[in-house]
Amino acid sequence: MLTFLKKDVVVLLRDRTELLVLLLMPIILTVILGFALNGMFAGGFTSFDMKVAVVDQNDRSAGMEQFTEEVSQLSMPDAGKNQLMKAAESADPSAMLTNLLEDEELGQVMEVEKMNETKAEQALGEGEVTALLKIPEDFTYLSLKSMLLEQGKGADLEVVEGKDSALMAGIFHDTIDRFVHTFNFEAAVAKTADGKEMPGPASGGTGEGLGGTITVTEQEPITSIEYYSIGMAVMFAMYVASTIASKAYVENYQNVFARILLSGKHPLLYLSGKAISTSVLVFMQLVLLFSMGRFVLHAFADNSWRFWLGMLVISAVFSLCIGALGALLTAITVKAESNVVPGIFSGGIVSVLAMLGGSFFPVSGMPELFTNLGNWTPNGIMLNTTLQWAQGLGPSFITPLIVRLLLLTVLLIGLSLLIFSKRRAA
Amino acid sequence: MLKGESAVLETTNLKKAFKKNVAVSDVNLYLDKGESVGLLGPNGAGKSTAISMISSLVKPSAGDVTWHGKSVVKDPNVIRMHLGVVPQDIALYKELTAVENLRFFGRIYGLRGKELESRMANVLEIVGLTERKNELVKHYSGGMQRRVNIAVALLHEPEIIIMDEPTVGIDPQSRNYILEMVQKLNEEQGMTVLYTSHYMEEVERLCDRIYIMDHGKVIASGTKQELTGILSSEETIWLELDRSYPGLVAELNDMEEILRVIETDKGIKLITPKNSRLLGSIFQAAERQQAQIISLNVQVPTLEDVFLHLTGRKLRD
Ligand SMILES: Nc1ncnc2c1ncn2[C@@H]1O[C@H](COP(=O)(O)OP(=O)(O)O)[C@@H](O)[C@H]1O
Ligand SMILES: [Mg+2]
Repeated sequence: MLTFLKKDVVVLLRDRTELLVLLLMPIILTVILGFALNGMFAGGFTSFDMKVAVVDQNDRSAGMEQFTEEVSQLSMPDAGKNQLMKAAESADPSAMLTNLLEDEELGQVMEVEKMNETKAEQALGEGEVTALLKIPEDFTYLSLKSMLLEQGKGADLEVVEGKDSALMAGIFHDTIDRFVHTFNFEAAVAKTADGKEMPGPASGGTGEGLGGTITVTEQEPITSIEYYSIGMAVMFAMYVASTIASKAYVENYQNVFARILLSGKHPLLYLSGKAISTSVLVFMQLVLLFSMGRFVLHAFADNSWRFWLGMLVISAVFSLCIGALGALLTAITVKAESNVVPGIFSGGIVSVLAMLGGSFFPVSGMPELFTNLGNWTPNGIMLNTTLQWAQGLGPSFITPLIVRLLLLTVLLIGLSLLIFSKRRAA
Repeated sequence: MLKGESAVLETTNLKKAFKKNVAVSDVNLYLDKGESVGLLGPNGAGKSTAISMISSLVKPSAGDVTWHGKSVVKDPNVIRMHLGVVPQDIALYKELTAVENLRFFGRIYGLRGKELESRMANVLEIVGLTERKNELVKHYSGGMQRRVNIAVALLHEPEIIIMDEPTVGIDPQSRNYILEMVQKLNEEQGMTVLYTSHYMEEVERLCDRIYIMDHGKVIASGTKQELTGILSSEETIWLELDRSYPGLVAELNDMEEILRVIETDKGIKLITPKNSRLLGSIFQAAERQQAQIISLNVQVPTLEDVFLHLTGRKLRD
């Protein structure tokens, strides 16, 4: 087995172009995307300049009144009611939203102007503002109700995007989205602290924030460099799989494989050799890229051995999964006796998977189908796992994701065995 | 002892059909220990398919292959370790050096450490690549690649080596080198050789016995003498002359024993009965006509002629 591995590693090392693509490209892209799209992350906006109209129709006092009314009708002790009211007053959702919008970092790139609805829509139509945020009349009421009474889904913040600068508007949309998430998350944490029952995240109850979409908490913000260090690493790991498969073709599988059979070795030795080579190469690639991220790009400031041990474990599982993917692509290549499939994979499928999995931008703002698909791509799972780990969420959060990754691995191995055993008898 | 009695390798009614296309049918052949046997046939005759079945890589549609009397079809492992196969296509990792290829395949054959290194040195010596063993295979010439291809097959010291057109598309020196090498392996080391080719000169030179294949069937077999004996008892005599001599043509035409006289732009071609001992009379006629004979060549039938005779086609089309 080591013989196969050594051979595959040597072959890959000899291919300078391939090596550059697999190692240098992700670093370059990380730097480019990391700096260019810096603004998408809690690390701070620096390079965008946009104007956003806010139509604030929220009636805070009416909302508080309505909420007080509702609380007073609850069948619970007065002490509890008092506590709820206190919480409501200190929470003040609209203040939190305003804070976010006027936040210093956000303010560097985003100018927020309050307008009335007609004026705002006119401004949007004329392209004076990039997007329009509508805070509904019952924002305070609905938010409090959702946060503290666990009733309803909270207020709907309406973001209207201008048609000219979809990217900017998308970023704004994303920011608001993240606010809502963070908001819910903090409310959840606050409530747990209050000792009230709520489904724990580890039990998988709160779906959204944990199943896969990124939850950027205030405690451990992810910088864009960190995000793309991971995003690009997982994307380029997939190229290793297609490279190995296409090398299987180039290294004239038919003839070499005959030699291996003639030596009396089992045919599967060939395929497992490919899987293991892919895994080991991906693992080495990840270690290299993350080290680069750490020491050159100053990402992942967490130096604890626990953090890096976790990263190693996650990377190892991901490497196995990509190894299985490599075996699958090899099996298909060998069966089809053509290099087309690895070509299609590296030329298109990787990009699609990378996009679905969030390598280019967070997919939290995308339609549900999109995010669901992304949550089943190996790179998507890996990205989420790593992000959550880097944000300081514990093993109980990432275990389900790792299990999912292992499941995917088993599935891919099964598929590749099926295809390989049906190859043309040679 | 009867021929084939001591056969180490034998095929009986070997057949392979790919869907409707019958690539090999009813092939019966045997190899005695230490024998060098040729499989001659044009492209598409079914040589490679036959070899793949013999070396256990392809299951026959019918028939059997035995190695020392044991069926290879039932258990491929009876032959695999004793067999060296030189495939028609270069079966090497071109991104690796010759040494790295040898080491890789040697390890697959379970060779390790000192033994592996000494055998590698040995086969590199045999194929004459010791000096350039550390170059990437893709940088080698076609001939050198073929030599490494052979070296890998020799690494585990097989009893029998099967070579599938090992000299296709290479320069004359490399070709000569390979032919000499095969001859040495057979004559000095007593290795049994099954040599496939569509070059009749090669099998003529190397092989004790020859099977001629066409359209999946063995159409003739035997020693070279036996095979050429198939042909009618004629001989061709070429007279190369400095110019044309109509008088000489007329005189030769009058000679009873000469069957045909054909004038060409370089000289005269005569068809005569075999062993007719006409050379003396031909020289005297030339003397009389004061013709300058540049060269004289008596052509005995070749395997090419045999093939032409049997199939009505040339070996290489
Ligand atoms: N794997 C295959 N599938 C279908 N037809 C094949 C296959 N291999 C060989 N053939 C056919 O069998 C015939 C014999 O081929 P081959 O054994 O390669 O001849 P040779 O080696 O004498 O040139 C050819 O007609 C070829 O097209
Ligand atoms: Mg052939």
